[in-house]
Parts: sequence; structure tokens; C-alpha cells
Amino acid sequence: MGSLAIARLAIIENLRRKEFYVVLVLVLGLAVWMAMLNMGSSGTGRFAKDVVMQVTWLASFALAIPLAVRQMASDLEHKTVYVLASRPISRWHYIAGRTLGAAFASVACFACMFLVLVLMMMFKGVTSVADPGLWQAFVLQITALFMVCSIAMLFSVVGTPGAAVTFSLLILAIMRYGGPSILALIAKMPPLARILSWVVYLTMPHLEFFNISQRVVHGWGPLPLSILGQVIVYGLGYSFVVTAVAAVIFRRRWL
Amino acid sequence: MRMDAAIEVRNLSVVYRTGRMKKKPAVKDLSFQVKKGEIVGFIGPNGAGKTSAIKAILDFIPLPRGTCIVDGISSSDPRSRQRLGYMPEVSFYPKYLTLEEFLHVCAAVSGLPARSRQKAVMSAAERVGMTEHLKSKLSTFSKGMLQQAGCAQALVHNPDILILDEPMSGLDPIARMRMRHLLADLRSEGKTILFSSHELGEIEMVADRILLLDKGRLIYQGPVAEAVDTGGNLEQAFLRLLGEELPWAA
Repeated sequence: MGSLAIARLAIIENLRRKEFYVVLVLVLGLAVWMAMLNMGSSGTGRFAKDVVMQVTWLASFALAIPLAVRQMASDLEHKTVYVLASRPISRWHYIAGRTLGAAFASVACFACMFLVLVLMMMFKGVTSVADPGLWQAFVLQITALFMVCSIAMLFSVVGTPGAAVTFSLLILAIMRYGGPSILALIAKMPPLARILSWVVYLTMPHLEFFNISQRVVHGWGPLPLSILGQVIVYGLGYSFVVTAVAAVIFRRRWL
Repeated sequence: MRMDAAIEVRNLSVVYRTGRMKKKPAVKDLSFQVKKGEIVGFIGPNGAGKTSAIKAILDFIPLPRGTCIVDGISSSDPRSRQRLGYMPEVSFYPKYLTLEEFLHVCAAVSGLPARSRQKAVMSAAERVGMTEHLKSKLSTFSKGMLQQAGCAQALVHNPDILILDEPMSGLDPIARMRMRHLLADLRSEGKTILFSSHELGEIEMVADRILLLDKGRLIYQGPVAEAVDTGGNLEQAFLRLLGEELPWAA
């Protein structure tokens, strides 16, 4: 109950901040752009779908990382942590509540963006509400947001807010978009370095699993449900482990 | 631990790292008890270690040496804070919330069931005289009002033990008087209160006992009356116990 109350606090805070409305303006701008687009050919439709997905994905990550980092930074800087930490909750509940709050607020923002733009795409005949790939992409992005928020929270516990945002963005960029290049790089390494790199690679958050935008854009069909389930379990499990590590580190921190 | 002790601190030492290989002891081998139903004033000059000791009792700092027991439970166990209310020295609270929302969050995090929260929020706001400000955002509050809001959040779950860090600071004379009455009411309800303050006059009026810290060590503990029985007031006793020259004696 303590974690959920803290999560609710984070949601209220973030929905009352200006960033949320900046994102809404961005969405409205995209919706207007789509309304003006001539969807005569299938190529234009695919292009519009791709732009919508990439922009909503990037905007949601760009919103989630500072939002998650700010949770801890603001509490420590403004000493609001004392009011919550002096109550009968463990540091684990505190971190879990803050992470959940950041994740829920990010998901709310992302869902708003996504739904407005999907409605616009449906209106223009680019996609259909019955496209399962689209909803799979939606669910996977939500899971990825949980992962990103937990990673940003971990970095915010161990470092400064600036460093936490930078490292989170770096990991996101490398793992979401640079996965294949990393594998190629590892394959060229000498044996010992290759083994070590593999270990590091396996412990990194595999955000590329959650990016099925190409599948949706090109209409390659939905993921098999068993794979979708495994990816979701991986994402939530990873988030849980990272949050637990953050809680262990935070437990040792002097407030 | 004695059964009548609400707070017990044994051989507590707190050492801050001030740089690579540099350490600064804030509290040295501190031991004291606060009995149930007692009001204890925690006094000492700036940097004496009062806030560090309070932080250790609240488990804000992992204990390198010593033990803190609250209501019979080690302070490292979150359950030790079940019956404890804390008002921090610096009254920074989430500014984007109204007082009512803030108190609701505090009640929920304290584990109060949803059905009893509204009543608890109203009662806490009433006790500190903030009922008419429940719908106002904390960002619009003055320093004194934030101090009262801080007191309300400490009381919202009706704790038996209260730790108040500088509760009188920033209060106008009326709010100060109200706070004094509130402490008297809490005493009559049998609450245990440990409060730190530089306002020695207030301590003299309210506290049963004082704990005087200097440079991290407890240099005096005893009834207020005993400390001042050689004549004068607590302020003069404070200077005498610290071995300081009276400023006007020079």
C-alpha cells in the first residue's frame, strides 16, 4: 500500500507539470501534419505510420528518463524524502513506489500520444483498429517504459541527475538501436574479450526486443503470442531486478 | 530495553565522510532513553549532533555503531516507525499538492486504511489550526504555515511517539502559542515527545527533561528544574553546562 501511495504522489506531480502539456502539443502538431498528408499511395501510409511510431517512441522515452531521474533527485534535494522515509515503509517500498509512479506517468503520456495518433491514422485509412501488431507494439513499448524508468531510477540512486539522464539515454540508444552492431563487434573480438563482452551484453537491457515498429510498418504480421509473453516477462523481470538493486544501494545511502 | 522506554539509544556513534580518507564524528558514544509519556527537549549548539542522532533513530543513516530502539523494535525495522511521527527541521513538502492531498498521502504511506483517512486528515488539520487551508496548495504557504503542515503530517496517523526537529522555528507568536498548547495536549494524551530546539524558553516551558549535546557527546541529561535550580533560567544553565562565558559578564 505504501508503494502505491508513493506512486500516486509521483503521478499527481508529473501530471501537474508542464512537460505533459508540451507532449500533448507535440501530438496535436503530428495529428495536424497527418491530417494534411495525402495518403494516396501505400508508401505514404507506411511513411506516416513509421513517423508516428518513431516519434511517439522517442518522445515517451525522452519524457520517461528525466521524469524517473527527477523522482529521487527532487526528493533528496528538497528533503521531501524525510516525510516519506520516516513512515513505516522500507527503502524497497520507497524505490518501488517512485519507479512505479514514474512508469505509470510515462505510460499515461505515451498512451495519450499513441491513441490520438492511431485514431488519426485510422481516420486517414492507414491502419485499422483490428491490427494486432499495432497493439502488440503498444504493449511492448509500455513494458520498455517500465524498464527504462527502473534503469533511470538506478542511475539516479548512484549518481547525479545529469549523469543519470546521460547514462540512461546512452544505454537506451545503444541497446535499442545499436544491438546488431554490438553483436558484430563482439564477434570480431579475441576469445577472452569476447566472453567478457558477451557477459556484459547479456546483462544489458535488451530494449531492441521491444521495438517491432518495422514489423508493424511493413505489415509483416503480429508476433507469436508465446514470444510476446516471453518478451514481456523478460522486461518486467528485468525492471524488478534493477529496482531491487536500486533499493539495496539506496538502503546504504545516508539521507 | 526497559519496558517503559519509548526510545532507547545505546552507544550510538555517527561519523560523516567529509572527503577521501577524511571523517568527521557527529555523534560519539551517545546513550539515552526517553520514557513513555515524557516530553524531552534535545538541545545543544549548532553542529552538536542533534539532527544526526534523530536521523539515526529514524534509520535515515545506516548505523555504523550502536543501537536505536523505538517502541521495542530496532530502528532498522520499518515497523519501528509504525507508531512514530516525525516533523523535519526543514519544512520542504511537495509543493504541487494541496494540504489535504499531502496529508492523505502521508496517511496512506503510514498504512491507514482508506476509510479512516479523511477523518484522520481532518483531525490532524484541526489540531494545528489549518482546516481552512486544506484545499490550498502547499506552494502558497508561508514558512510558518509549512511548519504547521509539517506538524499535521507528523500527527496524521495518531502516533504515540513524536520526534520534532525545531518545531517552533519560523512560527509567529500566535502559532508558537498554539504549538505550545498542542504539545501540552499531546502530553495529556500520554504521547512521548522528543523535540530538538534552540528556543530554550520554549523547552523550559514544555519539556520534562533535557538532553544536552555538545560536539557529539551527551554532557547533561536530567529534569529541566534540576538544570536551572542554581538560579537563572535554562539559557543561563545551558551556557554554564557548556562552559561558555556569559556574554554580558565580560
